[in-house]
Order: sequence, then C-alpha cells, then structure tokens
Amino acid sequence: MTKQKMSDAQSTVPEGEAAIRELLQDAGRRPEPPAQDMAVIRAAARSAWEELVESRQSRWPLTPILRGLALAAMLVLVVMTGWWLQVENVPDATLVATLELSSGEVLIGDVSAAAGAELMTGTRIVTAAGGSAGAALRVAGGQSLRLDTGTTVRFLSANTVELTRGAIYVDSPASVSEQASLIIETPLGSVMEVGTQYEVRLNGGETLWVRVREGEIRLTRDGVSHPAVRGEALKVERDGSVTRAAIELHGTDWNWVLERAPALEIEGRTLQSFLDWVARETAWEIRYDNADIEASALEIRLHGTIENLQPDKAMAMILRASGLAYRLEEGELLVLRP
Amino acid sequence: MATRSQRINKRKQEKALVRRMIRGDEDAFETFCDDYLPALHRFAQRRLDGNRELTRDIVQSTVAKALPKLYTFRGDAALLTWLCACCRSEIAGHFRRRGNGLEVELREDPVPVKAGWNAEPEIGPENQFLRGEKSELVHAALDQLPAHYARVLEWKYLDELPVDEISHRLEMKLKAAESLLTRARNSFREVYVQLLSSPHGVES
Repeated sequence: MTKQKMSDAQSTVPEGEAAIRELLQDAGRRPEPPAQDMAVIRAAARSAWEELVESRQSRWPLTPILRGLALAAMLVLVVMTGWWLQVENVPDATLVATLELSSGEVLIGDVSAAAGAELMTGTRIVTAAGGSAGAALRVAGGQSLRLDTGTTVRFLSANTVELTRGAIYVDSPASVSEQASLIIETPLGSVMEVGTQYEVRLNGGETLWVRVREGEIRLTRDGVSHPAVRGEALKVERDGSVTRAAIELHGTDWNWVLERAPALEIEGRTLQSFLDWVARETAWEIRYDNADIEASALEIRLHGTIENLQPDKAMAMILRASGLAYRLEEGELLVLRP
Repeated sequence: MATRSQRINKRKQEKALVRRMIRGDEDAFETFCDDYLPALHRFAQRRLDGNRELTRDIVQSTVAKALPKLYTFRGDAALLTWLCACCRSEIAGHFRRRGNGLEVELREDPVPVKAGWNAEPEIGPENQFLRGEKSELVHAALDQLPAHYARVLEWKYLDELPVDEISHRLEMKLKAAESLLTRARNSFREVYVQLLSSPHGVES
C-alpha cells in the first residue's frame, strides 16, 4: 500500500465507540433481500446441499489396493492413448457430429476437445479412463450420443459408429428418419436402432451388453438378428452366444448417462415441457397429483439456466422454485403441492 | 483489534460448519442459509446494479453449483469469500454467454468485495478503490463478521438496545454481553480498515 493510501485509510479508521456508532448509523441497515427471492435461492441451496450429502455419503473409501489399481489404470491409459490416438481422416471426410458437452479429458484425434468441436468421418473420439471424463455428441441425424468414461469410438460414416472400448448411450428421438438410424459396430456384433434409447457397452472386449431403455433395437451377430425391446438387455459372449435379461429402466446404473446429458435451454419453456425432457432423460413416468397442478405446469414459465445440473437435480430445484413438491417411487415422479 | 486467535477461531468455526453440512446436519444447513445467503445476495446485487431478477438467478445458480463442491472448501479464506468467488465466476459466465452485457452493465467491483480474492484479476486504477460508497463498505464489513457479531452491533447501534436487553436476548450475563460487544467492535474496525486499505484483498 502506498503511503498516501495508508494515510487515507488511517484518517477514516473509526477510533472509539462513538465513531463506530456514527459509521453504522450513517450507513443504516443492511438491505434485506426480497423474501420471495430468498425462498427461491434457499430452495436451490437445499437441492444442492442434498446432492452434496448424497454424493459424499455414497463415496467408497479408496484403499491402498484400489489406489494401486487406479495408478496402474492410469499407466495403461498413457500407453494405450499413444496407440489409439491416430486420426484416420478419410479423403471425403464429412461433418457427422458436434461435441455438445465434455468433462474431464476428451480427445478428438490427438487434440483436447471442448464443447462446440466438430467431428468428421474417420475421426476417433476418446474419453479418458477414470475420473469424470465423458462426452455428449449431437449426431447430424439428430441423435444424442453419450460417451462414458474410458470410451473410444469412431464415425465410419454419417450413421455408422465403431465402438472399440467403453460404453455409449444413444437417445434417438422419434423424429429421426429411418435413413438416419445409427448402427453401432463392435467387435462382438452390431446394433441397429429403431427409434429408441439404449446403451452399448463393451466389457474389456469379452462381452457386449446392449440395454434398451426405450423403443427397439436389433443386434446382428454372425448374420443372425436378435431384436430387443424396452426393458430388455442382450449379452453377447466372445463365442457368439447371446442371452437375454430383464433390466431396470432407471436407477444408479444409468447415472453416467444423466451426468453427461446436455443441459436443456429452459428460458421461456413451460414447466410441463421441462418435465417432459426430464422424463425422457430419466425414464421416469410423470404424474400430476390433480388436474389443477397439471394445468399449472402448462402455465408456469421458466427463466434462467440449469447449466451443469443433471436433469434429476434440475427437476428438484425447479419444482421447489415453482412452489411444488414431488415424490419419486418406483420410476414414477408424482408432482404435488407441498 | 481482533486478534489472530480470533480469526483462527472464526475459520475453525466455519470449517466445523462445513463438516456438519457435509454430514447432512439440518441445523448446520439452516445456519448456513441464515448467515451466508443474505450476504451473498447483497454481494451479487452490488455487482449487478441492483437488478433484482438477475441477482436472484445468479445467486441461485451460484449456490446450485458451489454447494455440491463444498467439500473442496479448505478454510484458507473465509467461507463468504469462497462463495463470493464462485458468484463472481457465475456473473462473469453470465456476461460471457450474453456476449457483451448489453442488458445489464457490469460495473467494477465495489471496494468491499475485493477482500480476500487471491485470484482477483486486475480491477482498475487504484483510485477507484476509494470510490465505493461508505455505506456499502460498512455493510460489507458487517457481512464479513461472524453473524452474531454483526447482529449485536446492529442491536446496539441501529436498534439502540441497552446492553442488558442484548444480554437478555443472548441469554448471557451482562459482563459477557459487554465483552461480546467489545470484540464485535474490534473485529468490525479491523475488517472495515482492511477493506478500505486493500486494493487486492488481504483477507483476514
């Protein structure tokens, strides 16, 4: 601090009780934030706090063995990344997807990628193993493609994606044309969508899991087609055997998909439109406690942003801010008055 | 003047509050909301030219993003300082997304909110830091005090309550209330002078 400023500051130092009294009385009371606004902020704080508590309570302690394994995994990643990072641009490369969201280390070719980056045919996209690495792509055909941690994919063409490691989730809206349907090629079989939401996961190259959350897919292996519908999973072994199992449509197994959901622009949307989006992302069924609340959901307009909030967390925050409450039971979200 | 041990004690109390919040202690959450959210709101409002809707949205967004990361709070700076840094980032992000901030003019940091931001970028000419309104400075100083210190100062000098009434409200003996008032005055003086004299923030 300069001598002049020191002098200025000292000249205004409130020495003695009388000086402090005068200072406080001149300044008056601190402005109280509007109660309505504070209620909204408090509701947001509560949702965020609950998220904090939940996440900290569900953490697993990292034992020395796990730490060792994590270190080994990182070393493997370093070696493997050098092997995999080869951009294979084809001569007639075309734009096939845009990166909508990335977290942690995401590489397109050998370059660190950020939201907005464009993918051409032949380009690999890699999410680092471990941590929170992941990505969401918007495919030119309209599908949303989410990449889990430790995933490698390459667009062989505008609608053919090669998965060589990790897991992807495809959300294909009904508006996607049949010609634009995606085919996911893996070493253990290929998966074709029929207007759907599904996950394709390679477990170390030994097994392939396809979990269907909505609509229908067809898995092709050795020329044989295996359809699967909502609530079903197909497991493909290296020897070619295919087994079928029932799956849950929601729950922690799908958390990674929610974590990588691109945020919805909520500005000006109705609450109902927002809840429809939440329902699609979470596979919850939305039910309103009564017709009055359902009518309100059509009238309530949302403002602001839910950037960086998962759909389920955003839902909790927005319902509270709208003066509503909810109950979540067995995949059904009941919207009600508090 | 407030002693170093008082400052350390305040940090300890804040770290303890954060630990309790992380454990899911409802009372700790309520204390946090009562003691920190209004101050955070005032901080944002000062920077957003009093724009009510924008202030609400920014503070809402700040807590939504900052609280899930509360476990990263190490107590190196005051909890309010940590929250204000998050809020400042949120404000900057808002104006980046808007492109040029045509709707709401983002003004320079008022003097009070400079305190304690280690990562504060260059704010402007030195003489700007003396430009802040005195009342804002006083309010910001009160916001930085432990909540009960600010409360007793307001009771004493704004509500003009006698010390015995303050001691009654706090359910403590008269001597203890007098002592508390003395500590509150000393802390206020220290924070006020610190805010006044530090362009880049020497956090207590």
